[in-house]
Amino acid sequence: MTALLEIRDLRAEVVEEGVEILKGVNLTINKGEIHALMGPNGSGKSTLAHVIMGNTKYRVTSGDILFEGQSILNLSTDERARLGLFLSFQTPEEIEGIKMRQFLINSYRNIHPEDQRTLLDLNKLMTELTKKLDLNQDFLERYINTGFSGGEKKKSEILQMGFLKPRLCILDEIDSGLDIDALRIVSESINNFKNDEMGILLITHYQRILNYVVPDYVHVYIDGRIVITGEKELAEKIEKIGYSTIEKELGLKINEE
Amino acid sequence: MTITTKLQYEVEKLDTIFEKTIDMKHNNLKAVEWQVPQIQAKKDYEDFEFQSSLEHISNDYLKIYKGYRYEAYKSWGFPKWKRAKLDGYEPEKYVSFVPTSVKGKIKGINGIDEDGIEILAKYDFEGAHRKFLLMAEAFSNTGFYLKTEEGESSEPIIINYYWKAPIYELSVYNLRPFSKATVIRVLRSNNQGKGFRTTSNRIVVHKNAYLELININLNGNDDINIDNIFIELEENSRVEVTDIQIRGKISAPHIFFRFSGKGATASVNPYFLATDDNIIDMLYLMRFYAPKTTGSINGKGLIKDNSKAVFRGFLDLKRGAKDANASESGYTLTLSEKAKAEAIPSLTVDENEVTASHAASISTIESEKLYYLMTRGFSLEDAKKLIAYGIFEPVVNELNKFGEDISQEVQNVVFQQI
Amino acid sequence: MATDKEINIEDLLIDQSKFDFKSQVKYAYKTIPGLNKQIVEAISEQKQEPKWMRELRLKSLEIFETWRDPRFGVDISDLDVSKIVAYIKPDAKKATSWEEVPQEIKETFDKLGIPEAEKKALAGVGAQYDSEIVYQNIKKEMEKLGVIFLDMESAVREYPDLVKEFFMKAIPPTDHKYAAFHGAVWSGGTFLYVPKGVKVPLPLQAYFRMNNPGMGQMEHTIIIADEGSEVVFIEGCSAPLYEATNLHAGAVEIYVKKGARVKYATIQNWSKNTYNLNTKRALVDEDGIMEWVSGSMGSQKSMIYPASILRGKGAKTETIAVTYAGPNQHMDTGSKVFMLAPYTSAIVDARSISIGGGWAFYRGWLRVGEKAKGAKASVSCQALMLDNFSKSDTVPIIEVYTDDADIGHEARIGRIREEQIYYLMSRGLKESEAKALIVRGFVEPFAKELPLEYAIELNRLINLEIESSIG
Ligand SMILES: Nc1ncnc2c1ncn2[C@@H]1O[C@H](COP(=O)(O)OP(=O)(O)OP(=O)(O)O)[C@@H](O)[C@H]1O
Ligand SMILES: [Mg+2]
Repeated sequence: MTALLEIRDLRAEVVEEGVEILKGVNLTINKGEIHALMGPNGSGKSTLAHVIMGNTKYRVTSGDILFEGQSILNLSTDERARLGLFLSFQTPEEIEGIKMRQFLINSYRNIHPEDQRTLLDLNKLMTELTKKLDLNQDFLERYINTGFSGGEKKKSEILQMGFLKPRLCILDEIDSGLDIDALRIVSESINNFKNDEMGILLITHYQRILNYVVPDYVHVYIDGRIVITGEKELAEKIEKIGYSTIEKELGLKINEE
Repeated sequence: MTITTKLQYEVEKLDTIFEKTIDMKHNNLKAVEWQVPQIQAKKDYEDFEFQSSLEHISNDYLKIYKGYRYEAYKSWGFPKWKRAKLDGYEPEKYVSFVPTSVKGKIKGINGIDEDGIEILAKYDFEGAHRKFLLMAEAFSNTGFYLKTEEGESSEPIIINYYWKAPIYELSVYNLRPFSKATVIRVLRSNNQGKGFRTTSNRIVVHKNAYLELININLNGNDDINIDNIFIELEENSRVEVTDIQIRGKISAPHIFFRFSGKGATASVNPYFLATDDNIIDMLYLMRFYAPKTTGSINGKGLIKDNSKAVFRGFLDLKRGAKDANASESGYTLTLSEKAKAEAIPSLTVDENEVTASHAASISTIESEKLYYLMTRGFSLEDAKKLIAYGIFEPVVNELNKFGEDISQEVQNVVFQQI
Repeated sequence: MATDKEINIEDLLIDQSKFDFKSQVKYAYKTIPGLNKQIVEAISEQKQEPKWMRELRLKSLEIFETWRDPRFGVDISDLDVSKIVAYIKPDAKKATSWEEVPQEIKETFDKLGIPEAEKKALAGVGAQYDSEIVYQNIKKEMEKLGVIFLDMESAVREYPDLVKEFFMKAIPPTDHKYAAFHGAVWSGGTFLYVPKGVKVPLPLQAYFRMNNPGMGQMEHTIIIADEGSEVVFIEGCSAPLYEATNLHAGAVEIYVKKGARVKYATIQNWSKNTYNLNTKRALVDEDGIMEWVSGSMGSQKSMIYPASILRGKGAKTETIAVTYAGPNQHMDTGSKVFMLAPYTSAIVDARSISIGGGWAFYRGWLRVGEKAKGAKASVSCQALMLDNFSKSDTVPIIEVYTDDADIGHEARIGRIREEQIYYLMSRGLKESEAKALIVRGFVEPFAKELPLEYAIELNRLINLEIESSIG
């Protein structure tokens, strides 16, 4: 069976400065799997997410990214989105002048052109989702993420995940900035939206969300690559001992290159 | 004293408040002010045109007023505008009456009363250029007099201008205390031939009155549209202006806010869109005299092709305007490498107990925003269009409350152009 | 709580007494007041100039006579050029050691602390007294590295080709009327050439002193920083106070070559009878960096807008300016940036303080040309009005002629915010201390760009005065 996502020895740099951030990432995600990715600040987790999504700020220098066996390196960001890749941003953009409702409908039509559902149906679906996520009634009438609180922005991203029905979800620190209730709601929603056809890459700093969204694998990511992979217990261990101890255990030196 | 001589006396002698656009003096110091060069037209309007303009006027006051303005008109040449690329002007063939269609309770200018005449005589300003202001007044071929009753709040007034011949508008709005009015002025290009409009609007918003003014200018590529508006704000009055400027060979709105009454509040929200070889040269000026006044200018727009937008937002706080709050922001989105954006925000302050700020930014669409939309499946082109349209979304939305027609019309024009 | 009205404005003025002393100095030569062909030729004759320079002067004179006054800025209609003495040559030879400088003149510079500063922290000093440089010296090590640091007259004689290539090329006499005036009667100033790759470790300084009533000082400064070089240049100026109007119409031309970096710091402290119509311009090549640090404290009326023309890819400029407008001062200051090449960037941070009826006007001009793809610029203006009879204005012009640029401007005008005073007072400061601290903080971004001696001087000039007098 071909993997949903396969990343092979991926190296990438920032186009403007030419600094290498991804230093040989290998990762395979199959349908139905949840992978947690944990690592210190600045290690390049978000960069990995953006490179998978095709952000032109970064340039892939070697390696490959395969989605269902096909390389997607030559695809633009919107083409990747239409294939079913989804990224929930660590800091979602605010875009004035475009209402959430209009945005979501257009996105949906872009990504699922085959779907014949009426506007009315989609609108209903959206309203249901806002309720599920305990978002204010005016949420859909507001401009994209504009003036949203930190928590609202995260909920907005999850709502989009639920609405757009992607096949691979990269959730970049979806749990940061959420209060206890919101964390529960968001986690439940993720579990809800998940299905056997979907793969999830969950980037997080905290073990807490993993109690709700239980990962099949936990990867520790340091300085541009995955250094160790384990199961849920690994996350607990990290929480206890921190990254520097893990680095020592693994005999990793900082700035090894 | 006969009415006529009384009026003559008034017009000559009355303490006319003349507001210069740029007024730079301080104690015994003064600054050198730029003088706009003037060019005499080869064939300017003369007595014939003036007399035909009077044919539609029966009001003696008005006739005399226009007479004065005609005299003044003769002593001016047409401007040479460097930024707007206007090299003098040759007036088009004069037509003494142009049709307009009006919905709501508003009179033609001929119905002006003594109060209205007093407004005409009392307030004077330069306009985008003195010549164009005087031209609108001396040769007016349309115009309105709006007078609300104290405490009245009437249905929205909609004025539709038709661009069949050059339009010269002389209007006065007189909002009595505690009254409310909404005026929507819609100018549509006929998109054939060169349209020309210049206007003179004096608006007095008395104590606790409220005015909502919406100017929708849907110009064509060959039209010249100069809209001069002077607004006097008395105590606790409130004014909200939305100024939509779409295209035009030269679109030159000039809106002057004079905050004379304590607690007055005004905002102006310009939206501009220039394409092809359009030039939109805007000036919004707020002069604060009274304490506790609040004014804001928030301009947004986009330019493409070879067009140019000049955004001038002037905030002028005079001594005595204690606790005034003045702010301005200008935002121009540039969508083509040939388009030119100019911003001239000016902040002049004589009073230190104020809050005064301005900000301007000129840029292309942020790549992060485009990327975000692309991660949601929008193509680059669509993402750009969507964000560009987003600039106008709030105003289209706002217009909805006056019926879907107008809102839809503006939306369509914007969509077509971006 | 003390209000602004209770502040004794007299005490808030920048203390200029330190600069206000007159000396009796003999003159070797002096033109009659006014400006005409004879006067221009006489100056040229005195300097025994080459023909090209004499011609440049005469051509400038022609332009001056036919051009109109600038159509913006301060009102200079009361400036009567026919009363200005364009050239006064002190009776002193150009010296390279302070011992050779005539006693009275040396005393002047001693009082201003110049020889002292030279010993401590400078790589070289030029000192101009009225129309001529009387002292010019550079450390031997610098000379060995090929740094040329001369008074302009000597440079014209010793390096005619080099000077001719750059003289009035960045600022041609046709630039504006007072550039033409300058071209006709310029005298004194510094010529500095820093060879490729040379990094001058300590600042070089020029100090300009006007001692005579009714005179004009028109020094010409040229700095050429060759590829990859670095230099810091400091300019100071002052004059005693007279009834008669003095005119300062200097010109500074800076050529920043590829990858070079120049910082030009000015502390202008002319007496209140001076009209300061100075022109400063830098042409910046690829990856070059031009920094203007500009303090305008003195003069009666000023028009000064340091300009950077970024003509090479990746060129950068940064301007930090503080303007102080006290009683009867009309300060029209600002900055001009032309971004003409890709990936150029500019930062302007302009601040002003107005007090005692002074008028501080910021005039900015930022142009982003068609070729300036990827340009970035941010301009910020802040004005502090310390009382209610002064005036602060800001009028920036921003012209962007390309789509791929990111340009921002912001300005704020007002008094010291009550909340800030309150916050500091809640931490135990007296109101006067709080205000002084805030004013000091306000000029800090400027002060920290100055060499230590000057920062201290500035503190003395502004901060301490304000501290002792507010509240
Ligand atoms: N566009 C860019 N330009 C310059 N540096 C960049 C850019 N993008 C990322 N970097 C740098 O790359 C490194 C990795 O950044 P990244 O955001 O991927 O880290 P992260 O692991 O997600 O950190 P955090 O846990 O704090 O979110 C950081 O040092 C960051 O500063
Ligand atoms: Mg991150």
